[in-house]
Amino acid sequence: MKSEYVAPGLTGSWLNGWLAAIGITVLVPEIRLRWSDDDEPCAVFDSADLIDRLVAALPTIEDLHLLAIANVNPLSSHAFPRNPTLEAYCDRCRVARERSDFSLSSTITDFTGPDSDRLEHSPFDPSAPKGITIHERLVSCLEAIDDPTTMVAASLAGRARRQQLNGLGFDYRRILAPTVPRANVYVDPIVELLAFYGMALIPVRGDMRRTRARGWTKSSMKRGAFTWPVWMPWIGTAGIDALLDLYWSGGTTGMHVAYSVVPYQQRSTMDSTRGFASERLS
Amino acid sequence: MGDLPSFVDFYTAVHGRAPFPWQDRLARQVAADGWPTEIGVPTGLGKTSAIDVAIWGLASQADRAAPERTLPTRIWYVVNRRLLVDAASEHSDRLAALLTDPPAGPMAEVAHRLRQIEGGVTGVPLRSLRLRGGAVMSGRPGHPAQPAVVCSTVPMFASRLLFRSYGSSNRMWPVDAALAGIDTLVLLDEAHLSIPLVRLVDKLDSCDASSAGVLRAPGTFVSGDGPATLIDGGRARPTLVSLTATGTESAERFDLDDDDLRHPVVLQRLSATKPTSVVDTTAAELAKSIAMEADSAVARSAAPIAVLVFVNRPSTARDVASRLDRHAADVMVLTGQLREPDADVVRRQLLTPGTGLPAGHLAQRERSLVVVATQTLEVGADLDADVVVSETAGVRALVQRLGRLNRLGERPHATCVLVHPVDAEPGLYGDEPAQVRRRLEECDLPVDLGPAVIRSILGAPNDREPVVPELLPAHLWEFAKTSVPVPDAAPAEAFIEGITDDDHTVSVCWRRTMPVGGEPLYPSIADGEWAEVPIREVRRFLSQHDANTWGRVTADGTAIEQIAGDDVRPGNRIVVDASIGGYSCSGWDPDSTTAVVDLSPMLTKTVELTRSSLTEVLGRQLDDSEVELLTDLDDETVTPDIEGAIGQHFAAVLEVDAPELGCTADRATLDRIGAKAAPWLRWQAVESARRVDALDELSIATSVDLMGHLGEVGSVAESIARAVGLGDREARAVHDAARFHDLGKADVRFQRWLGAPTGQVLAKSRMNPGRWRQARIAAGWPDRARHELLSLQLLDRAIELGVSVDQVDLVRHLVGSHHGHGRPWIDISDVAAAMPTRVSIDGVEVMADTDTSQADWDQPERFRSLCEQYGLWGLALLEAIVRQADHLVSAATEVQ
Repeated sequence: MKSEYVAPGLTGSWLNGWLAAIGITVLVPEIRLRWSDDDEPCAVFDSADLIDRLVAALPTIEDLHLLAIANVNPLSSHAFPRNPTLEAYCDRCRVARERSDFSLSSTITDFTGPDSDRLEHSPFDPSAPKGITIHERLVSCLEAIDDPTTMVAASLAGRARRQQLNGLGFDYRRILAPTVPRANVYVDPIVELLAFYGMALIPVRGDMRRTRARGWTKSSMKRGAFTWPVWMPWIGTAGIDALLDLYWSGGTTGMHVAYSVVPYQQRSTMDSTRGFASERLS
Repeated sequence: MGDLPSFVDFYTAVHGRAPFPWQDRLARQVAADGWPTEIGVPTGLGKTSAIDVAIWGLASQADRAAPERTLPTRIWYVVNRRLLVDAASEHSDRLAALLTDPPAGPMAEVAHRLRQIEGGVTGVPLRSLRLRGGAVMSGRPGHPAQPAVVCSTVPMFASRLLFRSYGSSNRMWPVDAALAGIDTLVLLDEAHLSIPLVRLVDKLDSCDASSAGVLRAPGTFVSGDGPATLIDGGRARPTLVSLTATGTESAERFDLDDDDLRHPVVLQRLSATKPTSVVDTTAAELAKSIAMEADSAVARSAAPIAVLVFVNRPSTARDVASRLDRHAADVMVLTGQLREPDADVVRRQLLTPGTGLPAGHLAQRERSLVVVATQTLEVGADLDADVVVSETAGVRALVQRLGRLNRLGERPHATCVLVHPVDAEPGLYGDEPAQVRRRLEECDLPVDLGPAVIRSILGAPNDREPVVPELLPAHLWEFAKTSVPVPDAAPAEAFIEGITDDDHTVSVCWRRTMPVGGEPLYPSIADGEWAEVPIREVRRFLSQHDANTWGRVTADGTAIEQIAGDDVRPGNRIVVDASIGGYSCSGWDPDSTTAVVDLSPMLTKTVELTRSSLTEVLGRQLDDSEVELLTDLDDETVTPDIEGAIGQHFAAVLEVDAPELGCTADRATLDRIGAKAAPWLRWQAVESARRVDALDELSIATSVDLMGHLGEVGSVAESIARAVGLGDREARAVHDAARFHDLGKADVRFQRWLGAPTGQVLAKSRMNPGRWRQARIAAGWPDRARHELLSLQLLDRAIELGVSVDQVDLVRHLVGSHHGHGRPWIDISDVAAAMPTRVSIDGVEVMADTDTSQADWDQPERFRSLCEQYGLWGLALLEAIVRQADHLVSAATEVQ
């Protein structure tokens, strides 16, 4: 029997938790992941010493500054704000190719129309107040991690203390009552950081008519626009990637539950809040 | 091995004349230093001979050990004009034929050397293939060590490079990718038409899994764990050489020199005069004006002449053709939207001296000829007209169009008329036609637009920079996963042609009977049945018809599926009910409602036997037992005598030259021929179906002993691997994979399906296609079951029992992927039923409970790891060696 690490804090129904569980397999490539067969499936990893291995694999601030999406990157002479120029994007693609870096292909794309020089973002890279980039949000998350071992263990156990951060910007759990000021949003920085690495499997591109992120079928504000499965076999990143292809092609092999997004419904055109909750499909 | 003949001797043996100085100089440069990045030789001076240079250069390295060779084995001649593909492939066909049966001398020595490079696997010195929409779409070199010339359009080549080969089943995409992406020379003619392809090739290396890793945290992938490349030297990546008459000067460019400019033939061609005048008209009167100019030219000439009319759109071509005076001249229309048999008729006429207008034939013609064409005739076509009448166009297009006038400098009377619609909206060429018109206003008309002066008069082309998305490793990884094509993956065409408003194309074929969704597409669609059509027009056409009158061919090519018109994608293959029309003698014609001729009976020599077709054949009603007998013919019910009699009876009918029937034959006649030939044709179905790799599970062939088959495939695969130049480690792995690949067929259910006699274990057997499904169900072989999974389970057990296998992961992958699955997913059956299977491997008795419902969850990781080790194309090459060895051995068995 494999030694296991059960992570009740990363549940299959929670989109950010699901992405974070996948992100762990990206950061620690030898790790295999399956989901418990409970009513509320949670991530199970095939490593009893998961915490130590994961903490050792967490990125440093320097790593984040070398990402192709970094606002300022020592490998590029172009700044990369929220809405970069096409020239800057092309230069960052060069960086992405040189450093085998998914951060660009998972957040922004030039697959727009022939007459457009706009770049478009993935639904998993929503806009944030003041044009804060996803890179800046990631850096904030990492800076909030002062005791990685304790915090990773707490996050995986589901007892993490959430912190006042924007995070990736789509966790529905950070959305509070309308009376609470928008700046007062709280996320788990560990989960947000790990979820970003899970986005390695969700590239954004397009069909030459509109931008399409993998697994997304329509506008990110529509109910059911993104669906995802949880599975029974032990699989690593490549197996998960293959299983997702199978699932999004209509297959069910190895899967036992699936969910779809229920997006936060904006209260006015001025409301730029994004958040994806879920509902169970099967 | 004898001495290598000089290029001059080789060229002279091929062409019967000496090469131009630049051709010999290029050959010597290639042999010494490799290929330049660009060859800038004006049109009409024999750029296609770069193929000869490539063949001779390859032969020059035959005395080296395979890993030491630096010049690529496969030569892709790629150009974005179908006619030029055809012209080049006619040349390469001739070259291949000459080398197959060479006269003594230079040709014999080059042939001998090419056979040496081929490794003696088939003994064929050179294969010649043509790949373009609407033509041969399923051809490929027989194996990766086979010297070959593949003449192809840009989408056909580039889609193969990106694991999306248009016109092929997804099971064959990896093989096609290997044959396009590694050990290849790409002679990209008219490279200015294909800027996205140039950029794509440039980025492949940095996006390959061996450089960039797959699905890893940034910066964590370290390449170089395995062999850096399977093949060293210049063959690991495509060598791209741009051939362009209208390129830009650069240090890397190979150009004419003084020797060339002093050459009398070159001099004559470069100084050919082309007096050009201009006629202004309106957009509404465009077709009428063009037709009038063409008719006037014919009327003015004392002797019959050849007039070439160029227009910018197929619809204009149809309009002009309908207005021409057909009493005064023969009229032909050639657009890129004809089916191959129909286009072939036109092309043959165009290239026929006396009636057509081939360059180099000044003989008196009996009747004038007016050819109305679109861009399809612009580039490179070796035609020579007395008069060109052209709609104004972009500078590059006009340079090419004028290149078909007085091409060899032998027609001093030649003239050109440009017809300019003054009020036309900017179209295909933007505002360039108007700019050209303004520049010509500054000249005294008529003005000579000969090759020496045309660029200075018309000015620089106003090229629109194509919008090409950046290729990233994530895009490429999605393309490489071919067994379950990634839904919504980036469209390959964006990297091939850019993101444009211009129409991408789909292939359309017309059938009399539409298979019901999910039912096998039978007979398989022949290459010549397709017409290549702009996607927007197809979508519009389909939206006007019921959903059950058309369907898209599935990715594996075995059936059709119902989809929404908006979901039709570039490169898709659409089957349309012939009764709804959409095609006429001019080619694709969405306004035509006349039933379209179904070419399948003639091209596939196959029709489906049904009660009604049999009734028509025999001229009487049949009772049930007769229908059953005739629709279920197989080895047991038809003796050779009966088969011979049937064949003899209908052979005469089938003597009809199918291409001639294309668009002109009476449809009823065609249908009658197809139906009457049915019983005999049924036997040809076996031949036809064998081409579909996805159906290879059905193993239709002469009965073949399993272990004998495995041994032979192992041996052939290793020979190919060594001829390609792989190292010992990979050559052994390929050999092992090939000798284990079909072990799973030893399953008793599979053997029952094949109808194996007691005591025999078969790899393949012959079976009437109509009985496949019934036989499978009766044998208990589960639906969708893959014997590759069982091969893997037996292999694992064999390794446990001590059978020695080096490179286990690679061998496992090659076994699992030998029908195109396992990249990364191998299908499983829904029915769980483990079955004990026994085989003998290297003297070890291996028994395992094999189960086709047991998924191999390690395969995706294995696939990723091997892609990172060998690169996407490197792994595809290893797969191609095993799979094509299997195909070669199976084909050889059939011949025996």
